[in-house]
Amino acid sequence: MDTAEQQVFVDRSEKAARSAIKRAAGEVLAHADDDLAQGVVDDSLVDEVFRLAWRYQFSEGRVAVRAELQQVVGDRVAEVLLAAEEDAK
Amino acid sequence: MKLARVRVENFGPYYGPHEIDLSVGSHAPVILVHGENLHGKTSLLNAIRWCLYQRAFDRRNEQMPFKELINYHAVDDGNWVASVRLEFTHDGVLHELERQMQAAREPVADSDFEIVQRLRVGGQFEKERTIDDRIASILHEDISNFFFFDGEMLNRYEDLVADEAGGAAIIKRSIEQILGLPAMQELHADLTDVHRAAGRRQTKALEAAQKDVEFGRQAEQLREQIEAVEKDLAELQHELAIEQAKKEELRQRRRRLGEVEAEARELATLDQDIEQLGLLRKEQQALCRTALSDSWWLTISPLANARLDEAEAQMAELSEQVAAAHVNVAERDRAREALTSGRCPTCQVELTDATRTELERHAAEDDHGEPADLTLALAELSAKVKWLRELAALGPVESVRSAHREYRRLGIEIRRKQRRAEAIRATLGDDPATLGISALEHEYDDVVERLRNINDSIQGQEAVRDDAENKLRGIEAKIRRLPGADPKIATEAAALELLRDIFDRAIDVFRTDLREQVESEATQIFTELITAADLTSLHINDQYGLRIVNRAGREITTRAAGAEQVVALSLIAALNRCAVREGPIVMDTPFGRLDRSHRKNILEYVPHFGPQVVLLVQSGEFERDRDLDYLGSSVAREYEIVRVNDLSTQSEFREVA
Amino acid sequence: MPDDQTTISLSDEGDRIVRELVERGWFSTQVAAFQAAVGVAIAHELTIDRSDLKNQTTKWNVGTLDPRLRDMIMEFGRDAAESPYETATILAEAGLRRLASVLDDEAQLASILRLDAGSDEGVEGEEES
Repeated sequence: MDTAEQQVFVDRSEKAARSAIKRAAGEVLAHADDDLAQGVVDDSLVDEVFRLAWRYQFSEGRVAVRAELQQVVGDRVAEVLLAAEEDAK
Repeated sequence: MKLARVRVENFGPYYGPHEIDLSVGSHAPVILVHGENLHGKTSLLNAIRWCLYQRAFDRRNEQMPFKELINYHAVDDGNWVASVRLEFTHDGVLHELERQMQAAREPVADSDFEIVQRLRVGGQFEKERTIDDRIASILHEDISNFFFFDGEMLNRYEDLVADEAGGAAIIKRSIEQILGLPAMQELHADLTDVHRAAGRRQTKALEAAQKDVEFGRQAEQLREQIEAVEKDLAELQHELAIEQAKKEELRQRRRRLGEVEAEARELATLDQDIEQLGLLRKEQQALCRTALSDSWWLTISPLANARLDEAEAQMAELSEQVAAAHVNVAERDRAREALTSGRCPTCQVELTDATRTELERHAAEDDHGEPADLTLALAELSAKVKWLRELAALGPVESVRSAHREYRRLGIEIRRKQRRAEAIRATLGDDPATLGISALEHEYDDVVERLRNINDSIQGQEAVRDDAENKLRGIEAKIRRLPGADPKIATEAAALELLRDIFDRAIDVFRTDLREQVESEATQIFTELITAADLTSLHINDQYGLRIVNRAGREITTRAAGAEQVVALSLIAALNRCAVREGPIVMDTPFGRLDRSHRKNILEYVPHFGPQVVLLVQSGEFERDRDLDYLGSSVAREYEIVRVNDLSTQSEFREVA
Repeated sequence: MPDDQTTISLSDEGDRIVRELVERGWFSTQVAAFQAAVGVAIAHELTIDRSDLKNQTTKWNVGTLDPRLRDMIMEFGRDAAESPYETATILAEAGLRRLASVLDDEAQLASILRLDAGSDEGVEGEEES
């Protein structure tokens, strides 16, 4: 099977996962009551977190993943808060 | 992953190095390998598994110790070394994986072996410590069962399909594992952990500020409660897994007991047959014996024939001589008479001088010998011809010839049955049916009861956890809204909570999607394979129960002959198709219990199972003359695993032209 | 023939083989086996050196044998005229040893004893045994 076919194959299961996440995000964010948090958790963050998960399909040792998660979210929060501060000025 | 070549050395029945080319093209994705039982089909499958995961399994699905994998002849040579080399492509790149086990002296346990593994990717060697992870990312062992499977596994899945409560859990796990759910579940666990850490940071901040400490304390208490419950739940899940495994094992033992009884019956019949055939053989031999004793000169017959021809020719010649001699004597007597009387005896005319000379010559002739002597010789020769004729006429009478042929044929059949009996004794030998069926049933019921209790406990604890989580969520929301709360910490906590909720929900959505995806794939495959026209789809319900649905939309719960096996195969094929990884399918004797019509459908469908299908079949379940047609032109190559000698310890691959 | 034997003796080895042939069920009597062995030796032109025949045991009086055996030896045996029974013994010993060598191969045994005479077919499945 050539690389193009391989790519299609992998995308199919990833596609299914992404579709599920998109629907879930839609539902959950619709009911969220924290504006700031909602501002942080946008499509791109969800996507980044998902890519992290999909990369580590079967690996043991989640310490690295958790550290990366903390980093990703922390950075994003800092960005959003900074932007909010700028807006307030 | 697509297999290209397997090279085994001293593995199973393969003494020395042996190779088989498994590469396929898109129009001919099937490799067909024939082999009788115990010749080496399962060893080939095990070689692939062992090379990838360093594990091989016997027919009872129990892991085999390494020393049992090494070829007997190699061991006899004092050589405790075996290796498997697998060449495959993944993502278009050639991977060459080799695993070798080696022991310096007779090993006792797996730990006595040194294992060396090497992996080259695109020509570059990989670091040894990364090899297992690399393989896991290409085709993880947890899902490999849906790529490399045998008739036993199909049987297990067939049972799962039939057994509702227990089967559902395993089907659920299989579906989720193979379709990528673990990734999401792991992420959810990570998010929970990170979120909890954020919550603790919030509590600490409150403590530091010495304000609203009570909230912080409540939150912390709830967190501790939740963690305690989670720990309990983990232990309960662990117990659950143990009991489920026990249940599975008991089910297998129950089935094996049935099989063992069947094999024991077959053995008794074989022993009887062997005795009977032995008696028949003795009878045939007795017939031969009589012939050999009465006609001991059988071996000389051809010689006698040749001698007879000679003698008959001599006799003919001698007869002529006798006749000639008689004529000569008569002529001589007449000549003498004429000479005495001086006149021709016929016309009475006086003899002339010329006539007299002629007559004197005749009177003296005795070239032809005396008739009496010749007649004696003729009589002796005639007697000899007579007994030579008797001799030559005797060849083995047709009945004796066929008795001897029958004697040999019976011998061959006896040996065949003896070999089968030995094989059965070998398998029965280490599988003592120590528990009777009813004792097994009791144990089974106990396990089912324990499972029920554990599930109840789990449900109870989950309710407690959910309750605490809700309370914690409420308090954390309050904490976030407290004046003076650190916005960064608060926002992080809130964002992580949202993310956790999203992925929590995503898991439910994904699960449903997966179930529907597998159901749809399995139905498509099922309808191609099933012969009963009124069975039109498969349904996987919320509880992961698998049902056959008929045209009228009704779920079939009663067993339709052959249908369960087809369902199991459809499910496995669907899981393989939907899997997060793609790989070759290697099926080891999958057709044993299928009837002819289903076999035809499955064989016709085999080329569609995947981009590479290796079929390992034995003659009982695959009749080359008929079944090869069903595979059409999809077979890239065909092999036979043949025994090098009569023992089950040496085999080799032979390509069928 | 004043110098010919009046009894038949067999060597240790020859004696062992005739017993085995009867034990294995191929002949009803040792005499029958002896006689057949003569036939085998003649048919396959076998012979043996007298010096290889060790430890003779007297087995039978020549009267026990089928009278046609003598005719046979006279007709087919080499140098048999002087002492046909002595020749018969030598031939038998050679024939017995040949039979012993193929006792475990049913196909070969059948061939030597001409039990498969006239037939070219093998027996079904014989190749695998």
